[in-house]
Amino acid sequence: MSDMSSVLTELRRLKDIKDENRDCLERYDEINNEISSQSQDALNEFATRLNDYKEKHSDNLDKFIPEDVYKYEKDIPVCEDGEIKPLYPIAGLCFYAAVIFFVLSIMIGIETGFFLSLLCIITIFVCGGIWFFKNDKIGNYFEWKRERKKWFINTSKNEVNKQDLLNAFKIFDDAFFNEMEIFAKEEDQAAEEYLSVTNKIKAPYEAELDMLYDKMAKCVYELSNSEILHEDNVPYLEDILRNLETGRADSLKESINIALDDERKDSEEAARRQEARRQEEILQEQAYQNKMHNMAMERKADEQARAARQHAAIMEKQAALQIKETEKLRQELKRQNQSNRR
Amino acid sequence: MGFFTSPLKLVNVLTSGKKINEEIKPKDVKWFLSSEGAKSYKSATTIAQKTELIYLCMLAYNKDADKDMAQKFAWVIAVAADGSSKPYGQWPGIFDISVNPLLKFAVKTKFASLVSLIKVSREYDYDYMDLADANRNNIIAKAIAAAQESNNAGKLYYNCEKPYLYLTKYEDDSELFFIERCIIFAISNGGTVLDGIGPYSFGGLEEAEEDEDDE
Repeated sequence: MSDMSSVLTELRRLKDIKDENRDCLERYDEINNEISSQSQDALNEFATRLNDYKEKHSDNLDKFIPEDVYKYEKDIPVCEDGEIKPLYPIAGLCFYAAVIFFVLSIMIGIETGFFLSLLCIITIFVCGGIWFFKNDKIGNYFEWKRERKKWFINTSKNEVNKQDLLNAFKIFDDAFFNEMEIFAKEEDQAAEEYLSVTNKIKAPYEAELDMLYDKMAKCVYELSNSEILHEDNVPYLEDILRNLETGRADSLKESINIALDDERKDSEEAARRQEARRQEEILQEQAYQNKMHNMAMERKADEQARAARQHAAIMEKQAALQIKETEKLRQELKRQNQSNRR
Repeated sequence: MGFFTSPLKLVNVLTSGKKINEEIKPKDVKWFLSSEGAKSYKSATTIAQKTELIYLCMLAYNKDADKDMAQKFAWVIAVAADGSSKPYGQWPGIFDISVNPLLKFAVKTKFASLVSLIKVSREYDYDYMDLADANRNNIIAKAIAAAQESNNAGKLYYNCEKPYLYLTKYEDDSELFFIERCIIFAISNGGTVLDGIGPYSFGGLEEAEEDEDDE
């Protein structure tokens, strides 16, 4: 019995330590949040200052940036693939010659004779045909030559001098590292000022934070070095103590087992509940899908019924018309019969 | 339209057909590394001629290479790498993808297209100009890392790493210094060099700006 009471006393002591640790932690977080919120303005100011410095140095460097280093026109002309066979220019020349000869012979009135005229016309058509379909290869070549010449003329105007370019890069580099050095110093200074501001904010809380930290370290040490409770079981300390106090367990070992068992059951229950919730969601989804399906079916049935009604109305109308028509015919027939009889 | 090409030009084409066909024939990588390639390289005396030759070599390696970027890198190689004491400063190294890291970078890298940037900016609601800046600085950082033959691309990009510390100093290697600066200023081409991220950005500011934004 005395054993049990000493166990209970020890467990109560551990619970008090655990509570104290939790209170310390809450207070510790509270203070840190307070410091963070107070430091936010200083942090914003620090960021703004850095941006201002950056802008200032960028502006200073602008005049050193070598401008228009690469001034070439876009796309170096590349000739399209395609072999030029001697036949193509020959065909072209023959075509031109035949046309000129033919035109001149008509204009001047040279007696060419039938065969020469025929040969001329055949040449115009045959060589003209070849030339018509194959001139693009020669055309592309001359186009490429022209574009290439233009490109070289334009680029030669913008040709850079290597040494001048290298010197411009060196000047920019020196200027950049010079500005960077100043910027680094300004950055350090701003960081120092920011730290001093945050240190000032922290100062009134420092003693309390240290005290809380020490206390928490002590609590953790005591909780993890208890003679009767392993540190893995500390999270269930309240349950273990309650089991013993309410008589649910007769010994510490049994109480630990019950607490662990409860924990396991709780976990299983939570998992079961989660699974049930998932199943319910699936069922709800299915029900929703069914409802949507039914609604679609109903809509379809309504549409079909409406179509059937419309169809019946049309048929009715047609039947009425037919009756009217038949009545008319009957009366016509009757009239004819009467006139025949007369 | 070649239909109305002058007969004199046609005579010219006829008489020097072989030379013209040689001229327009697409050159493959072997040609650039052959004696003919060496002859062309020697006869190219201006930066423009060398740029054209290197650009054609890039297309020989990859005909689908990004034309704009290939042209810029061809210019960088022609201005800064050509004539240097680097292995790729002379023929045949200048045309050899296994020797010239900048040639390899321009040929092998898949650069983000304008369309894809616009798409991303719309999809994630980013400012297009910021995205284009970030993309450009990313290319610069990667190209410099390629020139340095190092894995410093990330350090040259993120300003919290103080990227300027990873740039080569003139005193250490004046040739690499020249190549790196040519890359920076040719690729940025009128863009702001100092703002945001990238090799010449001021370090450590982004975090502070982000904090301010959060607040």
